[in-house]
Amino acid sequence: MALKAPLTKLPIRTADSGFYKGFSQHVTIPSKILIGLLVI
Amino acid sequence: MLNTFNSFILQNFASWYVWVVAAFVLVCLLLAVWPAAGRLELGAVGDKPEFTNFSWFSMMFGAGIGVGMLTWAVAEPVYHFNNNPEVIQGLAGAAAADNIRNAYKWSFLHWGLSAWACYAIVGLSLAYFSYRRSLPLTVRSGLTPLFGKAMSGPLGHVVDVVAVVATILGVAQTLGFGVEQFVAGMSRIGIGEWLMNEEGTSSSTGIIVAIVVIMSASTLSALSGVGKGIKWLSNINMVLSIALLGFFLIFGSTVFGLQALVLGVWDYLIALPEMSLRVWRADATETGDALAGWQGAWTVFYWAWWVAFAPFVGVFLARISKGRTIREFVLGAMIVPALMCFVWFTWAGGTAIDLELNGAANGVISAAPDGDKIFAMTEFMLSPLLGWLMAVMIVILLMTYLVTSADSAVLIVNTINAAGDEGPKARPHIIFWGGGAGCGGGRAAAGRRPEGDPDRDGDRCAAVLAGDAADVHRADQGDLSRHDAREGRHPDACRGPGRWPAGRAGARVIPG
Repeated sequence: MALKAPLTKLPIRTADSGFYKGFSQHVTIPSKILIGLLVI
Repeated sequence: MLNTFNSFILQNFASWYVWVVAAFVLVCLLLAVWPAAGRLELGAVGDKPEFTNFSWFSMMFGAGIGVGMLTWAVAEPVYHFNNNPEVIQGLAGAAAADNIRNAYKWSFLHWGLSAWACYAIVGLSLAYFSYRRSLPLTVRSGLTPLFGKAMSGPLGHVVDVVAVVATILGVAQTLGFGVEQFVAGMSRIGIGEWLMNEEGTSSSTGIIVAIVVIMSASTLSALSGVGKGIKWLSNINMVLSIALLGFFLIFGSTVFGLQALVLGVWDYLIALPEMSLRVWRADATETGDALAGWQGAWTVFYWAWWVAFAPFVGVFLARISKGRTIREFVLGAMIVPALMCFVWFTWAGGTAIDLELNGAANGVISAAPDGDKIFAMTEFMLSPLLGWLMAVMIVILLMTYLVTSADSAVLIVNTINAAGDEGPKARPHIIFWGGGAGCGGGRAAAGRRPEGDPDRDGDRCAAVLAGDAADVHRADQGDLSRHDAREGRHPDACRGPGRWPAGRAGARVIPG
């Protein structure tokens, strides 16, 4: 059985502009909300 | 609520923690010794290491252990000298000479290969996938062999969010514990009586001021990046740590420490398989319950705390290890730091035990709160002026360790949020995360309740919860299936019988 070729690209969408430019909003915003709630 | 969650985790997943961490050790060592794997470079052909060996090791050690060493190198051997599984089973006497080797064996378990393997396994997988497969330097990349392109989507987002939350909680725990020791140290060197309250513990004002100072310095260092602030602070850490260690080597119980080191390493290696795999279950007998409680309060708690730190330290190790081979990485990230911990524990902690055992210290060190033991010991050993100078050096060391923990954590959180990219303008986000970690640490430190309060160890519970969340995908990265063993109850594991004696002013943290 042939092995699958290893993955060499994993595109993660990041914001093109604005306050979160260069960041993944799907990760950054939930993280900030969770940390804020935990601290409070 | 945290106590309830924590009890649930410790009742049902204690064996999971024990066996998964044992597997991490095995996998890392196998990869290092396997000829084809060991010589694989964590980078493209021709990539050279970015940092010198000294800086590389200093950054790893500072991020991985740091401030915990200053507290627990002295405190933990003393604790285990008084109580450990051999004492519980009646095989050794508490605080007896025949219990010294047991004290070190258990200390080495918690700070040795197992601890560093938690970081090394994550660092290895992320470095491999990032530098050899060109995947983003973020936690989700380590899970691509299992989930493939699905890691680009919501599943990958969840993984990274868990990693970020675990990192901030872990760093907050470290800050919460370390800042108390820092405040106690500042009080000792005469900064001001306002730092301590009437009970002899850190005042809320002292904690807040310390948190603000530490997080401000951390944020500034994080803003300057890995190549500047973090590297130079880590180098300062290492130089001061070596100087402090040198003090204990020359003026401490040198022979006792050497004996403890040689015999401790021997006992540790011989007992490592059994210690790594044994799970004590509460069985409604006094001994069984005590053993299960001890393991929950010490070993499982440590594993959870190391695992909570593993996403951050792992990404950090991967970030600074480009160009190293796997064998080099395991040596530098696992074996050498473990040996350094052993040396600290035997010379600093050994001096404390020796002074208490021969009656010279007359209980001064044992009676001191955890975070104060090292100060109590150096004050006892030195003249007032030299003791003060030594305390100043320890306070500086505490501060630099706390700062490097926090700033490297903030930097790594930013890297994860930016899908592995260090480049984006991150100033406001760095400031947010610095503030978040600082607030969390302040809450952890200021929220300590008096002895006897059932919520006293809520913050320790938070560390266990963070570790459990991180542990799930840590085991996946090691290609292990999840154990789901049923455990007996550990009703007091969270509270840790005997873990936090009265008068504790500071306690443990890591690797940061």
